[in-house]
Amino acid sequence: MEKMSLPSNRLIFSGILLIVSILFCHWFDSKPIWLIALVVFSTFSLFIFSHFPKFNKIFLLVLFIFLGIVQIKSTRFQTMFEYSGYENWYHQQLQNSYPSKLYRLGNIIENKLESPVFYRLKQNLFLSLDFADYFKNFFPAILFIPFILGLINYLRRPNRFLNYLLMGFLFLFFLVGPRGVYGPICLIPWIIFFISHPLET
Amino acid sequence: MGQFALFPGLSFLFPILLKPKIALTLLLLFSFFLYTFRLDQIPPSVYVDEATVGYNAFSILETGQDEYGQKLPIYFRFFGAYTPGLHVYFLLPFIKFFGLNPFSIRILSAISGVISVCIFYLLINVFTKNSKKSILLSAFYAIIPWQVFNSRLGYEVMFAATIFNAGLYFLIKNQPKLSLLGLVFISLSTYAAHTQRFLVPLFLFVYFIFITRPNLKSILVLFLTQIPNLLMLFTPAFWIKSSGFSPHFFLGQIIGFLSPLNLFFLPNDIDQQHLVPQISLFYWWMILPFIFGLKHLITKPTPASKTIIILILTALVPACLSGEFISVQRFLPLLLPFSLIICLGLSKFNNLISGFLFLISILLLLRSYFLFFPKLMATAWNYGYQELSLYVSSHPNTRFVIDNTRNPRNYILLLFHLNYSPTLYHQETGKLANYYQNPLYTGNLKFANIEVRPLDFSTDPCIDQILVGDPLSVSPDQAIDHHLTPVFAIHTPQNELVLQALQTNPATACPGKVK
Repeated sequence: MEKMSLPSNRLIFSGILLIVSILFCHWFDSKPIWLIALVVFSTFSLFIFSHFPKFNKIFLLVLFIFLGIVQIKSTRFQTMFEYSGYENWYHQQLQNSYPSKLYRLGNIIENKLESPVFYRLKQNLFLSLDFADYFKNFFPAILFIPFILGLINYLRRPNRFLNYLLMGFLFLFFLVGPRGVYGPICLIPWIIFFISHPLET
Repeated sequence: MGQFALFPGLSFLFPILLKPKIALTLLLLFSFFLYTFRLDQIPPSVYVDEATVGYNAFSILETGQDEYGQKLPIYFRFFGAYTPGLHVYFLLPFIKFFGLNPFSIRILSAISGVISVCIFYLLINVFTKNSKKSILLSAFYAIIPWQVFNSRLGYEVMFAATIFNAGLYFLIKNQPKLSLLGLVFISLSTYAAHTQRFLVPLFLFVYFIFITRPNLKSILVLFLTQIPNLLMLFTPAFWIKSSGFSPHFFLGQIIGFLSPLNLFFLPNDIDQQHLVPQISLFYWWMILPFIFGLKHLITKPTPASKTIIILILTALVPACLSGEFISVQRFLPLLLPFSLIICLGLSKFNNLISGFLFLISILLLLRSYFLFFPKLMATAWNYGYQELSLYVSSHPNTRFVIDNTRNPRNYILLLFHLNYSPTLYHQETGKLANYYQNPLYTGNLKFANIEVRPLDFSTDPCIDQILVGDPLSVSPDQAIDHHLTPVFAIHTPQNELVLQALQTNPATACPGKVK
């Protein structure tokens, strides 16, 4: 992802989009100052790294590990090993749908294979990837267009280090889910990063 | 043989399956079986949209007129929706041959689904240029939940999508004669469903700008095939499904639909009838090949991949403009391009992993669609009206009032299940004037020994009749207060009460006022 040779007007455009998306991001509303500073600092670091790859990787890594720790500390954990009240009722309905001859098989499938752990992991992952939630609650909907373009541009010319970093956060969300006091802290810098890269290639 | 290594236990079949024509035939037979297995029972009952298509086709067959007495309409006034009518006309031979029943109204979608698998094979072959690999990838397309669901519906969405997809394939082949044929198919799809009617002009406009310029023949073909639509252009019937443009609302719909949560885990369609328990439009694991396939599509631009991208971008527009809430059925033109992206990503997977994922997907489909869906979604599919119709037809001298407060379109279910004579119906309800100018409709009707309308407790208990409604129509206290006696109740397979019938007792409820 060699970005040093980028025309400066594109870099300026990316920078403007970065500032605009930070200014209009509702996620920053009523969050502690230290957290806002941390997320903004991480976002800028990510942006600078993407344009100037000689930027210190270790520094970026440490910053995002710190974000990850805040994410874990602020997460409202849902138990992995049992369903909530409604989920329990619903899964009972599913199990009751099996014909009497297959009831034992249904019990194995619904309680062993499609266990609460497996269901919760899937739920965590897809709730973390729910753009609809982010662009309805945190960002103006219009920024979805540069976000998608930025995502596509990134897919065209991915950066291995950033790939690992992003995968790491998705794996974290896969395990702990995005529910928490402060919401998906780790993903905010990434969303702003993609929004700011619609014209990169 | 490498392509078949994913089914190691079936090695004796390899020499036969290696022949693409045989493999493709087997795939189409498998698809036909998948889309027609217990077609009359799954979906669990006839939905109002299916019933209106079926009954109007039946009425055309019997009288040459639709339910409102209009002779051979271009757009059918289904509940004021003015749906393009090609699907209804294509249903006629099936209803003639099999009679008016759930199977006969759904078989056309099933056949369309099988044809769409064939089209998908031809299309993915353009990208992979490997017929054996394309057949295996088409097998994944055949079992995609969104494809299976729509291939078993008794209304026009899959039929229209298949005509459009056939046209798309001919356009992508990019040969003069085939392109012309492609335009004919794409143009004809506008007579099959609302979505295509709005999608086609937009898609062709962008296609002609970015891929190829239209020649005189193309313009002539489009003009000639669009004459019926042009004739309708200045009637309210043409514009009935366009809800106006609001950027915020428009973007909200796009974001909501494109969210991975909606596509792969839990659809955010508010219409319960569009949902299958524990499964979304695609299998949850398909998010990974979707990302790989998207990368493949955007990093290797060809005219074919550009056409697919144009289809994705343009298909979002009419789907988002045609209604207030997300309806996954309006996004159906995206089934083919999204499946193409997923299968392009899948082509990079190890064969053994692909085989494992195929088997897992089949199990998920059997579990969700064939086991859970008919039992858990029965209420959303208007369960109970077939049983009610049987009771009504066996009591021709009893007067029935059927409550339609929460389902104002339920009269069509009775007409459908009773196979009620369209000639008699036309005599009883009369012919509608200004057919294409009249989108407001009422579901309050009288035919045979049935009256369909909201219940009126000031007068209904004083007439000797049976009142029928859902559990909210008559509460247990109201039944006691108005001296109503339970006659029968209809429950879903999960034992949920859907319809109840109560006999009035005018002599005790309204002494002195008995009618």
